[in-house]
Amino acid sequence: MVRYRSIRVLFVEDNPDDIEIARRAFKRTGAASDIAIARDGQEVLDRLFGEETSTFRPDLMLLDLNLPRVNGFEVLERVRASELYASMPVVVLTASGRQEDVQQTYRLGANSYIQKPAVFEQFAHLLEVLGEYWLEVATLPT
Amino acid sequence: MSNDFARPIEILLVEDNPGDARLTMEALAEGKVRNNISVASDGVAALSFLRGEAKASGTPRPDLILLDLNLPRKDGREVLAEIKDDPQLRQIPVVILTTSRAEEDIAKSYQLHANCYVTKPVDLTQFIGVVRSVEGFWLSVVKLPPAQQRVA
Amino acid sequence: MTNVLIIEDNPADARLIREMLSGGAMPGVQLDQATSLTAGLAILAEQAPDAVLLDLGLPDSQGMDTFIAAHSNAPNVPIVVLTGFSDEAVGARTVEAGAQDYLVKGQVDAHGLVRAIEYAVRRHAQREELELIASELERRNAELSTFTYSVSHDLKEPLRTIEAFSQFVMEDYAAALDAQGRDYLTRMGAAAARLKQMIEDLLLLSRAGQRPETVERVDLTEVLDDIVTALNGSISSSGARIDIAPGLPPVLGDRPRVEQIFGNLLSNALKFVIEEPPHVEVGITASDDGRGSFFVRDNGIGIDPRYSERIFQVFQRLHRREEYEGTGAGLAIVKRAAEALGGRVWLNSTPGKGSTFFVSLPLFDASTDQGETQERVKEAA
Repeated sequence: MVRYRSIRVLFVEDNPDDIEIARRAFKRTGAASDIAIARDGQEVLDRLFGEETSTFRPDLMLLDLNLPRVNGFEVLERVRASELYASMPVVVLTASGRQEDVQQTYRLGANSYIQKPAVFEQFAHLLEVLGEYWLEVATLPT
Repeated sequence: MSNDFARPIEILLVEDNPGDARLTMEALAEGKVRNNISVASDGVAALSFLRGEAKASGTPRPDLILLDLNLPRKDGREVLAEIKDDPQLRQIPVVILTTSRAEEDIAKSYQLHANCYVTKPVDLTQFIGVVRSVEGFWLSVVKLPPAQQRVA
Repeated sequence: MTNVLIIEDNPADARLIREMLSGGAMPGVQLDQATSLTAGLAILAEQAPDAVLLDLGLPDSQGMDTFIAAHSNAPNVPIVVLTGFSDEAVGARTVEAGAQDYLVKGQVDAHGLVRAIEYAVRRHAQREELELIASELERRNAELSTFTYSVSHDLKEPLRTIEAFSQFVMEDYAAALDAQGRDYLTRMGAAAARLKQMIEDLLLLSRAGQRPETVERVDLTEVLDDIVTALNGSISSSGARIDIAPGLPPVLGDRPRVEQIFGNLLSNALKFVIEEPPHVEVGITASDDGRGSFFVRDNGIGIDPRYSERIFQVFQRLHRREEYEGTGAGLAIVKRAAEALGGRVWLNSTPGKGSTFFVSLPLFDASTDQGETQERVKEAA
C-alpha cells in the first residue's frame, strides 16, 4: 500500500538499547518514516499535552508499562481520557507477561498488548511484524 | 509465541457476505496458530453469541472478534459500541474488517475503541494477504486477554 | 518445670501416679488432673501441658477412641498412654498412631514412669525442632527457585543488547574490520549464544526442581515414543539403534518432568559415542514397594567413576566443547526432576564400554486411590 503521508510513531521506552533495536527494525521494513522517542511517562505527557500539542501529533503510540516517573498505565489512562488522543492507537510493548497487566491494559483501552521476547531475533522479528501490521495493513485514524 | 497453546484461539467472525466469510476462514485455517472460527452473519446474532444466548452453548467466549461494519439487522458500529460498553466483553480485541474507506467510519470506529481498523482490498490475493497479516499479528505477536469463563 | 496433665478416673490409680511423680523423682513437676475425657479436653483447649498421661478407660470414652480424641484435639502435646493389663495390644496401636509411649498399670515403678514422661517430652521437642528445620528448608528452597527464575529472566535483557549490537556491527561494519576483528566479533556472538543457552538451562533446572502441582499416571512408552520421534534427526544421522523394552509400567509423576528425565538421558546416550553407531536400551530392572528402577544403557564413551557425582552438577563438562556440544546442564536437570518426583538417579559405567543410568520413580498404581498415591509422592519428595 502506498502512503502519501508520513506516519509518526511515538515510542515510549526507557531502555535506549531497545529504542535502537526498534529503530533499526522499523527502518528495515521501511514502514515508519518518523519515530519520536519519549524516555519516561512524564516526558510523554509533557509532549502530548504541553506546548507542542498543536504540532506534535503521533499516529501511533508504542508504550512500555514500566516507566520512570509516570508509569504506562497512567499514561494510557490520560491518553484515553483526552478528546484529542482518544482514538490514537496505543500498542503496549512491555517485558511483563502478567495476566493482570494484560487484562488491565485492554480494559483501559490499549489497542493491543505485546510482550517483549527476551531473545533478540524474536524481538527484532516481532518489531518488523508490528511495524508492517500497524503501518501498512491497518488503517489509522487521520 | 506469547499465547497459551494449550487450546486453540477462538475467533468470532461477524460477516454477512458468505464469500468473504469463506475466504477469511480459509486464510485463517492456513495460519500457524491453531484457531476455531465461529461465524455470525448479522449484528444481532453476533451479540447474542457473545452474551451466550445462542444455541451453541458451551462455545467459549472468543479471544478475538473480526467485525464487518455493514451488517443486516444491527449495524457493525452499534455492535462495536455495545461490545465496548459491556464490562464483560470490552476487553476482547475487536478488529474492524470492512470494505469501507470512509474517513468517518475510520475515525468513528477508533473513537468507539475498536482495537484496529483494517480495510479489505477488493483484489483476491491482496485480501488473503491482509487476513494473513491480521492473523500473524493478533494470533502470534499479540498477547490476548486471559481466557474468559465459558459462555453459560 | 514440667507440667503434666493426668487424665485418669480411678482415684487409687491417680493417687499412686501422683505419689510416684511428686516424691522427688521428678523435681519441679506440676500436676493437673481430669477425671473424664471431656474434662481433659477442656483443659487441653485452654492450656498446653508438657505431657499428658492418658488412661484409655474413662467414664466417657474407651480404648483407642480415647487416644484418638485426645491426640486430634492436642496434636502438639506428647501423650503417654496408660492401659490396663488386659488391653496392652491397644497400647501398642496408640504408639503407631502417634502416642509417645504406653505403660501398663501395675507394671511400672516411679523410675519407669518418670523416664517415660521425660523421654516423651524430649522426643517431642526434638521432633518439633526437626519439623521447624524441614519447613525452613522447604521455604528456602522455594525462595531459591524463585530467585533463580527472576535472576535468569533479568539476565536476558542485557544479553539481548549484546546479541543485538554485535549483530548490528557485523551487519554495518564488517567491511571496515579485518579478519581478526571479524573473528573477535564472531567469538562474542558465540559466547552470547552460549550464555543464552545457559540461562535457558538454569530456568529449566529451577523449574524442574520445583514440586509438580499435580501428579498423575504417565505412560512411559508414550513418552519414550515421543522422545524418539523428536530425536529422529540424530538417530538417523548416527545410525543409532534404540531398543525400548515392551510393557513398561506407567509411572506416577507429571509429563514434563518425565520427559525431561528420559529425553536428556536418551540424547546423552546418542551424543557421547566413540566410533560405532550408538546402541541404546531402555528397560526396567526392578519394581518393588511401589517404585520402579528404570535404566538407559548405552555403548558410548562411559564415565570415569571418579566423576560419577560431579556429572550431576550443573554446567559440569568432562570434555572440551569442540568434542561434545552442550552446556552440561542435562544431567543436573535429570537429577532435579527425578528428585522432585520423589525418585533418584545413579549410574554404573565402564570408561570406553558404556554407561547405564538408573532412575527410580514411583509407579502408578491403578488399584489405589489417586489422592492417596499423590500424598505418597509428596512424602517421598
